[in-house]
Amino acid sequence: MADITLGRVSAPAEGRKWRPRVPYWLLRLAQILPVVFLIVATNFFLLRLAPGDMADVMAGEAGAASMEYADQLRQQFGLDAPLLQQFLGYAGRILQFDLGWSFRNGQSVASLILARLPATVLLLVVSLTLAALIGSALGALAALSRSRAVDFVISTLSTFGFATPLFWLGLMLIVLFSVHLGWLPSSGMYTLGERATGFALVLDYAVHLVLPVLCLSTYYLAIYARLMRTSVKEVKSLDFVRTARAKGASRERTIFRHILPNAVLPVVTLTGLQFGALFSGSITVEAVFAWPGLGQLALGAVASRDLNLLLGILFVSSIFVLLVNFITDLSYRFFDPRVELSK
Amino acid sequence: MTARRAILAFLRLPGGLFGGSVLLGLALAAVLAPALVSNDPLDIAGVSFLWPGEDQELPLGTDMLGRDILSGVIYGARSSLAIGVLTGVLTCLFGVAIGVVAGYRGGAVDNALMRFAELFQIMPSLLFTIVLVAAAGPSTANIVAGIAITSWPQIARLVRAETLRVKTSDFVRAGIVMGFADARIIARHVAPNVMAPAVVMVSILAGNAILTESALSFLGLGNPNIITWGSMIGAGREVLRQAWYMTAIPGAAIFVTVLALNLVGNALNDLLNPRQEVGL
Repeated sequence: MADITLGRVSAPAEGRKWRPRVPYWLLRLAQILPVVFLIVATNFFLLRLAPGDMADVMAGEAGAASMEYADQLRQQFGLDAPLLQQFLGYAGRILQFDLGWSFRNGQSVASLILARLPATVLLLVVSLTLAALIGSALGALAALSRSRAVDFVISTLSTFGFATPLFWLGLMLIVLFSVHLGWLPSSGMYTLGERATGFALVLDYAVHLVLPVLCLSTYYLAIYARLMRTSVKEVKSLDFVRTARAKGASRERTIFRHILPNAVLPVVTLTGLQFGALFSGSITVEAVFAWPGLGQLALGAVASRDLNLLLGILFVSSIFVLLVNFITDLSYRFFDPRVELSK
Repeated sequence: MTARRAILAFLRLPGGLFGGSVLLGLALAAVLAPALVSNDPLDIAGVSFLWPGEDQELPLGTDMLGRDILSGVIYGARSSLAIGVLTGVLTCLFGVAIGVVAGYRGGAVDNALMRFAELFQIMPSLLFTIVLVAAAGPSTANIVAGIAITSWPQIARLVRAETLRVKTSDFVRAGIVMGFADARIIARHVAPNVMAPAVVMVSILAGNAILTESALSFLGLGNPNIITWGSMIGAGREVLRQAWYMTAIPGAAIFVTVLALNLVGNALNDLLNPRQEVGL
């Protein structure tokens, strides 16, 4: 989320005092640290928002809920200490990835999350990749097509994509493809019972992946299509495009060598900015398709009132989104070498 | 542009006309709900599992308990529109206030406020709202708060960028030279001139808020005391294989409402900043 300036390409002025050049990623990292701190603080605040404290919850969870036991727990976990001290302790633990213990599941929160993370990441990465490729292609097509009908159809579909509740789309896809046509499985990540191997296993995963991915990528696809259309339209009218055509470059060459590389940057920015929204979407999609990822874990945590686990998931997913943003910011230079990243 | 001419220009855009009329119709239906349908959405109105069109009295059919679906859709418009309006207003207030101050003051204030914006922009909105509701209870106020807290950065960023542009304009400099207090310059001179992108964005964010709330109540985490489109879908899901219309109808209502809000946003954008596409 850095501010980008298209800098002049010029040699450093002579006679200026030499300043050590701090690498961009280091500057960006310095900006990220306060955000990590704020994430931890928000988690702590949310934890304190719940009625009762951790000791009440734990005493209840453990099954023996005498007042003495709860007090003993309070002392043990330092819940009777001053607030600042509690916060520092909490922050220290969380930054060592010690997210606490989930009594309901009899496991540490960190291990529960790590077990579910791959399923969610698989869903997110496949959906994002498809949405980015197809969405950008459609957006570019809408902007470059000579036919107004193509532009209209793509723009309309993209507007529809924005307005569709993903979980509802998922249910409707199940009705069509699983119930009526019987083509695709409606839930889970693999066929239960029989464990295939090798190629059959990959195929089994792929078949289960189709509907959730189709569903989750819809919203993102709509965003990519719209943004790419805007961006291409803007670049298309710039002088260098006319120059390229005038010097005799073919239409194809102009599009692929001149327009598209210059239009792709805002689309890259978007990937980072909207990644949180994609994560939110994956929660409902996981719920609809019984996809065994973080979203399902979070909903289970709500059902069993396991606030500690829930906050662990919020923490991990926030850090995850933050990392994706960090990487997107760093990738600007790759996509557009002229970009000078200032703070 | 006078108000009348502005409205006419707005209605001349196809999206503005369609979106505006749908929203107006929904608002009327929400206000007049008791006069429009005789059945309470939570009462048993007839035979259960009645498909749409089977009974003239119950045009959209009944659910698995025999409750009137049309009544549910109309009463559901109340909660959805309320969520959209409340979140929209809150988001706009916070977003504009923080964006203007950050842009105008710059420096450390800007830096600090933007880190907060970043914080709530990266937190997945639905997940944050789920945690808030789990910790503080599933009331409408908490749901609105959760969505607004994770939405304002989008407005704040736009408004900040506009403020940076307006800040250097002559009328602001004149205000500074005349010795006006910062608060006065911000409130009287900067804020009114940076509202355009905020207004466009707010109708799109209201649509997103309705989507988030519907997801929440679909998951069974919404306010249990009122009927919402999301909760109707959640209930219909149980009988999806036999009676998909119970899921399809409220979902279509959400789709049409959010579509209308987005079209209104696009139309406002065409009017207010004709050279700019909606920022996302």
